[in-house]
Amino acid sequence: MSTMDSVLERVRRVDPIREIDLHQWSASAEARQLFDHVVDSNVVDRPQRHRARWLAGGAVVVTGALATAAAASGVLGGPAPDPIRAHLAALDKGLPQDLRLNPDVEHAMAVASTASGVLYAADLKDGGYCIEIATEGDVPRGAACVTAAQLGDRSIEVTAPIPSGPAAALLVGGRINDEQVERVVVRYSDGTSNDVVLGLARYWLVEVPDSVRAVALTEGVQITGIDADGLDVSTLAVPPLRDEDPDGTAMDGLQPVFVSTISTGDDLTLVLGVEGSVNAAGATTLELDYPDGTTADIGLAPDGSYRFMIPPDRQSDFASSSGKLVAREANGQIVASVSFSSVANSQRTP
Amino acid sequence: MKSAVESTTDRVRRRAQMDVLFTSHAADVYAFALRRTSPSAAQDIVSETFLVAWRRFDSVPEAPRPWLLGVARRVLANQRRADGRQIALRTRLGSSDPNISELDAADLAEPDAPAGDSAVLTVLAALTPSEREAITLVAWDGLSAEEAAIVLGCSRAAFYVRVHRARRRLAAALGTAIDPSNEQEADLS
Repeated sequence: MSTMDSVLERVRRVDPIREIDLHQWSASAEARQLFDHVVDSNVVDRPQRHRARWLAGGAVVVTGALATAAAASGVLGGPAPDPIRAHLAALDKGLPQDLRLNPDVEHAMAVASTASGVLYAADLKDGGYCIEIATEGDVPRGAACVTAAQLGDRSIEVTAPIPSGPAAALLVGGRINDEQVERVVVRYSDGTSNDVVLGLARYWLVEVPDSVRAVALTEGVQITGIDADGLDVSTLAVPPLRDEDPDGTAMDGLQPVFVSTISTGDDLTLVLGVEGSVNAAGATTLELDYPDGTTADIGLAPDGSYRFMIPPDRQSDFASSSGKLVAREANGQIVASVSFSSVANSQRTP
Repeated sequence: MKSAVESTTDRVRRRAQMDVLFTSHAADVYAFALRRTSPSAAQDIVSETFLVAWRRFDSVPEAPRPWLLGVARRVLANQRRADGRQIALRTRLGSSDPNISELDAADLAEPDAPAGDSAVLTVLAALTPSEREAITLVAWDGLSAEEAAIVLGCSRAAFYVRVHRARRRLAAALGTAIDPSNEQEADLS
């Protein structure tokens, strides 16, 4: 309101809240912990099985799809080639037993195909499945898994690899999980659409036509499940198929404290170190809080970046608990903090 | 490879956007809750409210404040239903007593409060809950009529009726304390 009459002014004067209290609360560690609790609740996150950082030969590298040159099998029901089976099996590498999905790679098979790619699937013991699209021969483009517990939340499972090059086919595939859904349509923002031909066991794979490639790259596509009466049952928006941020670093500088854990692919319960940058204004020091409450100081470079290798005897501290990085002003006031844990722990669903 | 629903970039972007949302509006939500419940319960309401925002991030409108306060209001109502409490207002801020009393006519006659303030609190407590809620959303939370209507889940016209009644009753009860020369129509639009 722009003006306030005297009655409202009288009420306003008895407002029990003082601005100073709000400022103090906003800047408090309690408020920041509350934020961390919310975003660490993982309620919208799915187990992330891509783009993990590994420590290999002393250097941090970003993993990519395994490169192989085997020929693709386009025969539905045919066995998955070795590179696909190896890639699906590698999903569990480094994870503790309770987080392993153990896909039945021995019986993985081709379940849908187009001229440019094949969708392979492997069952999970609990009734779920893992899928993987292969292109350019038998090059695995990354896998997605759905446990039985997740099936009910996903009417249609969708996976869409980032194309490997400007001429590479745009493929979108997945599976219909909802019994109500009879068929799937891919819709584009220019108003056109594709009917999808289903493969085996309600798996599907579709190739984006050249005529709508540009809009799919920049605006994504919409996957719609349609029931027997022709009504839309569910719709899923697939983000733009062009990855504007292949390294996943574009947003790093926007976080008050950006942290990336350094891990070994052999054991994802360990955190070998942390690195990143402190971007919060006024921060001069950074502290690592271990889950047991002990702390360690981390040196900050003039540009706010840091890299800290965790002593070997503490690397397992984050296997099932979160640590925290706390940035402070020179007077000791906390200005930002962020929680982190091992890759394995971050993949645990609540 | 990018999963359709989730990718590292999406997750990082959403976390950064959530940080902006929290930094910009957590104090508003906290103040809203603190005016209506104890400090510890207020923090729980902030937590629950932003958990809803985190779960339904795509549903958060561009002008998020009324939406967040509307969620906080429902969380508060659920909490009160669970606790079997009656709707009430906090009597004062700054008390560290987690069992601080809820506002009713007796509580409002605060011995420490200035006489004029005490009278206003007493009249506020005498309003109907919906009138009190309407007037405090404007006077305390600083919402426009349109925003307050969103918080309350009612039409703007219905909100105008509530706040108009509240103002009339307050003015009548506090009439001797109000200088008519300073009276001007509030702009609630």
